[in-house]
Amino acid sequence: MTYTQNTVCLNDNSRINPGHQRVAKLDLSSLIGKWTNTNPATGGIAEIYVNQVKDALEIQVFGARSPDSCDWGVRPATAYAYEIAGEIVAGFELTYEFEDQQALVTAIHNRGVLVIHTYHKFKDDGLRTNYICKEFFHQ
Amino acid sequence: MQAIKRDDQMTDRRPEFANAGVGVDLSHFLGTWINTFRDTRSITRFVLDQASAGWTITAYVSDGVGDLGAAEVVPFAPNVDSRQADGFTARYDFGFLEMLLAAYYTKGLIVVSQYTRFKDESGRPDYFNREFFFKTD
Repeated sequence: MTYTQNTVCLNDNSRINPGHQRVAKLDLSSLIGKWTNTNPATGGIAEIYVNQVKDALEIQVFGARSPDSCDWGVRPATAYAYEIAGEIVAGFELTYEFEDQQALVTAIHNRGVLVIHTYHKFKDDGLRTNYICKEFFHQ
Repeated sequence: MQAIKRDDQMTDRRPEFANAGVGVDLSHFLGTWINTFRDTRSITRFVLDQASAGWTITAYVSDGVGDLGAAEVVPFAPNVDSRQADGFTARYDFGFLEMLLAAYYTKGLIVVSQYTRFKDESGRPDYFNREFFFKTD
């Protein structure tokens, strides 16, 4: 291991290029609203709501579950830019903590599609294995 | 057994079909994975290895920083009934910066999404990038 604790840039991507300026804040508008799974028969996430509260994101996920959907609740999310000097939001990630599992939700916006990967990690389940769910959403 | 969505439910709940006490197997991914983009400004390659308990990743980055050290890997299967990994997550925490790696396998590649979050006072915005890696021998 050759890095030092005082390193301020892990790689070139972490450095703002000469001539570029850091933007004041990220434009989150492209993510705001209701997103619906492109697969109506999904067994994963049915819908997701993205709201802006001041300069931050709040997410509400609804899991597909019979007979009704399962409201995962409203949680804050971390928004990410496409580049360090950019103003375009790429997506977000957040982690839901449930009694029996942890669900890491990662979302990336691309050409009107929100690509969501959910990493489900079960707590002492003993039966189910941790798994990934990859899904697509439209507005 | 609780479920937050239908996919959380096993297809067959008989005990003989359960994955009782068994984790997700990552052994088919072990080895060195090279970035398909030679001029990357981020992770150039990574090595997946087996540890005494679990799995680790060692990522190498551009710009002469070298390797980022070993981080714990959490493997994930494609569904609750499977035992073979389809992807993994790992997290590097350097104090001033935290980098979440969320990866999945497709068509011979591991696609790694990097979520970089700054925890210092530098004012740099958190950012995302995604890169593709192929396996060497």
